[in-house]
Amino acid sequence: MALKTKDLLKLEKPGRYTGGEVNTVQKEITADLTRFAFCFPDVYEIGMSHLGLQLLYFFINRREDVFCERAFMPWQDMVDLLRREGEPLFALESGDSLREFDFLGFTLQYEMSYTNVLAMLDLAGIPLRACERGDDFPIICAGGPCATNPEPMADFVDFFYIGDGEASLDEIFDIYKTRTNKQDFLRKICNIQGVYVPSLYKASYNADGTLRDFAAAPLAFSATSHAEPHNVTRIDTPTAPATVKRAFLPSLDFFPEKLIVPLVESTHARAVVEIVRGCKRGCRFCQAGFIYRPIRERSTCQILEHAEKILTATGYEELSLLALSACDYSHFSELVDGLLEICRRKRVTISLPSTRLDALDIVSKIKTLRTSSLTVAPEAGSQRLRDLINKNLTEEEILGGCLKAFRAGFDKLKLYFMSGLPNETPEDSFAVAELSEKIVEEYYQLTYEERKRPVSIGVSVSCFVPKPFTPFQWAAQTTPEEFSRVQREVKASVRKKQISYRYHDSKTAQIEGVLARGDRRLSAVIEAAYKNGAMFDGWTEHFNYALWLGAFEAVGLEPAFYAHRERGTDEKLPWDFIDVGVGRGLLVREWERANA
Amino acid sequence: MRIRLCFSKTATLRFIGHLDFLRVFQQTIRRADLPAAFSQGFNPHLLISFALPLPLGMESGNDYADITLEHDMSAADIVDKLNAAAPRGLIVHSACPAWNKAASVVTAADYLLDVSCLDLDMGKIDSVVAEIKRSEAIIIAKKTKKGVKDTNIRGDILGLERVGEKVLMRLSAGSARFLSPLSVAGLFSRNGVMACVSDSISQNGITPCVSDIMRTELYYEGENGELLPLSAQSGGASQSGSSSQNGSSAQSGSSSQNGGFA
Ligand code: SF4
Repeated sequence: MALKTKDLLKLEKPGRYTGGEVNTVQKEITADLTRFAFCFPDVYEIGMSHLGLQLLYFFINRREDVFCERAFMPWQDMVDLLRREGEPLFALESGDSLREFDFLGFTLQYEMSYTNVLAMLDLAGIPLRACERGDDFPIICAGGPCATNPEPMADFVDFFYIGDGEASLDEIFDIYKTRTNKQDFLRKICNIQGVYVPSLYKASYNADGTLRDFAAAPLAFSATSHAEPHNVTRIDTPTAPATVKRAFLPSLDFFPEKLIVPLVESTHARAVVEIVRGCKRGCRFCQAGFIYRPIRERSTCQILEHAEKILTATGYEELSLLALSACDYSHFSELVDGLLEICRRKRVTISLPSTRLDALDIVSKIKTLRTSSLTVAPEAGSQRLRDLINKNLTEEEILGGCLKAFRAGFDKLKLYFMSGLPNETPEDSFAVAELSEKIVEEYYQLTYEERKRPVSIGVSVSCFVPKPFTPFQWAAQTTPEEFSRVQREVKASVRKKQISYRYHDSKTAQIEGVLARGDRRLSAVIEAAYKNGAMFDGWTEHFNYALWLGAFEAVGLEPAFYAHRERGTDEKLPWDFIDVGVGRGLLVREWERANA
Repeated sequence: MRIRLCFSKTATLRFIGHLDFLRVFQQTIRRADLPAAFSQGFNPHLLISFALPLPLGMESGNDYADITLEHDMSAADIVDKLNAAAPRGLIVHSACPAWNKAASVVTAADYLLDVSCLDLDMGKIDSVVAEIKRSEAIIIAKKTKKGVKDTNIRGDILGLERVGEKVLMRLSAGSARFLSPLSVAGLFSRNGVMACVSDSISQNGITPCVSDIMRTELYYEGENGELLPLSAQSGGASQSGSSSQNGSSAQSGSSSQNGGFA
């Protein structure tokens, strides 16, 4: 990096770009060192709050022969500065251009970061499309939850990594050292569990636009076969596997001893410990609930030991737990007691991610909660719809839980709902407002003395986006117009002033839905959107719907085909070739039950 | 036991602002596992108070913060543990008992302004230095809460001297009177005459940047009105309990040059 201090100081938060944080790794850069850049396609603060990044950073760096560095999407002001100065995007540890690396590993946490992936490649001077990159460019790989339907990004990525990072990365690095060239490497790794090399597959489509066929293309013979016909050397595999199985780690053994401590305030400045991967609940809308199955817990004593180590190594004054549903941890009460003891000793506060109402008794042990606000996610307003999405929460439980929360001193509740769920009726939509009003009434069950402050209920309604590998993967997503029309009406029906009712932008949700369930033809749309200027699409103030519509038009594809069309269970889906460990039969059964 | 730490903030740490630095320092103390005192309440915070916040972009030479330890430790131990836990760019030079409150006693600060960015021969710099010192009044437009106001800053320039390619400035600093080093830096114009008199810094077009300035020392007023570095005890006693001055090479042009002012 050769930017001037003066120019850096003109940026908003220059500390995002200068590295030098505590616990970062430095290695001597030698010719035989494999250089890997973990690329997070969003700003530094968001990336650094992501435990997965830290976990893989230390996991990869435990190997002496590989050096894992970090790179983030620069904010607009830095994008401008890099372009003005003609400087490439760089990794924070060495300051070297991403172009110099052997691997760039992108994490795809949300679909709306796809244009940022392209922006980062572009800023590093790397051609966007895999087919335009020769051997002297880094190998671009991508993982994370969105890699379970990798197809929309297929044209840009050399290989996807699906599943637990700790499971197969070592094998990939070992093979890399024996490669002759990039093609050779990709062919060698395409049989490793969790690896998907999109260039080795071909897709064809029916006249109605649906997928006709998706299969591995036969691999060519290696060059020696022509020279020595009697001594034919086939490369190891004649074709790439028809099914790509996700990489799976049966037990979570690797714990990073440290975490990198950002110098500039990150979204969550706190030590985080993963306690469990996966969730046993099976809500039908929830992709995480399906793709991380089966649930894997770390042992309580391992977690406690680790929490203490991490706190010592970081100096954080807050500890948090990472889990999809922390309160479902088998020995949750025991764990909280142990953690509270450590926190008392180290004078650290503890916070929990999402809180389930049924675990409120345990949660209220944590008297150190910084705020008097509590987040609850009933997801749907009516009992009928909650049952339909398999959210096992009755109205009594919700109201009773809220009352308990009010008694415990919480006077701000945040309620999360979705609308546009499959088979949602107008009554279901309005039930969100009704349930919220009932919750307000619960508050007035308290005596006058107990009501210290006026209660405030923040209702937030998002537009449901069907995701691959869920029972709702066949469902039609509601259109932006329909969502807004319904939400305007529901909002108008709210009478109580204690409720603030907000609903999300459903245009973003439409594009997200398209990318979530798209096929590889969408690579062209993503590229066109990026070239039109789309970037930071996940940021409300940056999202530009018109750019996307223009991109669809230019490529000749319809958002509605991907987002608002119900699929038959006999349709071939673009992600069907991936086996995430959940049987298709189960998804079909669950989908049918939701439609019964 | 209240302890005064003398440290410097350089390198990448110049890119983080005061609030971030406060957190970084607290985390360093926690990692160093010093028996530091915390605030009371549900969310205990480690107690630390800085002598004078440093602007984003500026490096510091001898900077100060006070902490409270719940039991005694040797100064050398404190310094070693902190340095082992500190991020790159934070070096702790010494620790000694704090006999006053760093945050409320500061009255002056030394700054080194790098004038090489102006691309002038040093004779011109010297003439500006001389002109400033000769002037009875230097009026600049100072931004205040109520808007822009013409202010005479001459009285807050306590010393000025060229040292090689740098200009050493001693200026009023602290809660009572404060003169921004950028205001004085702005007096050095590109053509080598004093850019002055109601000219705001941005108007004269040269704007040396905060990163051209290093704050090298902080002073308080001793019993006889003399300026003493925050590490020195009033009444002539030398730096009691101060540990070895490790890392002093990082403090380019600090205390050794302070004697230069008449
Ligand atoms: S929504 Fe929450 S509880 Fe339900 S399956 Fe997903 S992670 Fe588990």
